[in-house]
Amino acid sequence: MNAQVATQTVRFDNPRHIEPEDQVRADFYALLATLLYRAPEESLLRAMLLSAEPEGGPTGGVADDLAKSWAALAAASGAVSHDAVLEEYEAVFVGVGRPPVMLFGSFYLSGFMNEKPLAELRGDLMALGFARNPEVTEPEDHLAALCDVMRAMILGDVADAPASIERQRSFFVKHMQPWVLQCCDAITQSEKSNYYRRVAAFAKAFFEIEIQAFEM
Amino acid sequence: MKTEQKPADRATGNRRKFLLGATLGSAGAVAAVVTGGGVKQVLDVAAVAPEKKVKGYHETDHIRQYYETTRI
Repeated sequence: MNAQVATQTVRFDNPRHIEPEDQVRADFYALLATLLYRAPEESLLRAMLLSAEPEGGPTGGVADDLAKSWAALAAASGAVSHDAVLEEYEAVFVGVGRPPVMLFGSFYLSGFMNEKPLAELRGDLMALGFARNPEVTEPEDHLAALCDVMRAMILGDVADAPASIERQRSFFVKHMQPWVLQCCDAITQSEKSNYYRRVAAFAKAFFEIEIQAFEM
Repeated sequence: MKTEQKPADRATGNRRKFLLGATLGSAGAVAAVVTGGGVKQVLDVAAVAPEKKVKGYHETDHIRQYYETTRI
């Protein structure tokens, strides 16, 4: 099996049929969840740099935005070390006392952590069949967690079929759309961010596409 | 979660066309990065996301086995 074939066929061993555009979305959400959960390892930085070959002509508009933000992120991935990004992640998202940039939805929706939006999210997650991993300390409204929920909804697994577009839309519109763009802007505007500005630009371009697609 | 299979083939052609077009210059690269393994590793191990609620040990084993197959 050559590398190209592997790229196309090595996937989650998912028994469900996933439409190509949904596989693409799942991949974007998977990468964003990973980048937002913690600083990427060297191997991931390297993979991002190496993958950044031109793929032929975007058609303008949102495609250009996404392609450009991806190219910038991939290039930046080759210019930083894991240690530097780790330090930046701590400075931007952890901080001393209050983090300069919050990655939690309840902060944007209510101005506080652990407020009503988080309670509603927990109820909706339960209804969707998700339960919190008890070993994880972050609240469920962390942007990385929400991206991973979207990925899981899109792909489904052995036990569960992929969630319908209607269910995905309803989850996204309620729990992500009201604040994710603002969160991306906050990252971009933070004095402490550098690599994560590229992550935020890429995330924002993708979320804008999701918002448009869910309106169709 | 109840079976509710309304995959994207029931979504409009417009949606598909838009999504594939909009991700044209980056989808392949992102897919290559994700299938490269580093991403799955983080998602599997970190599990910052809420996990699937699992009822009973039989299903647990089943799902664990499934997760094993996702490690590349």
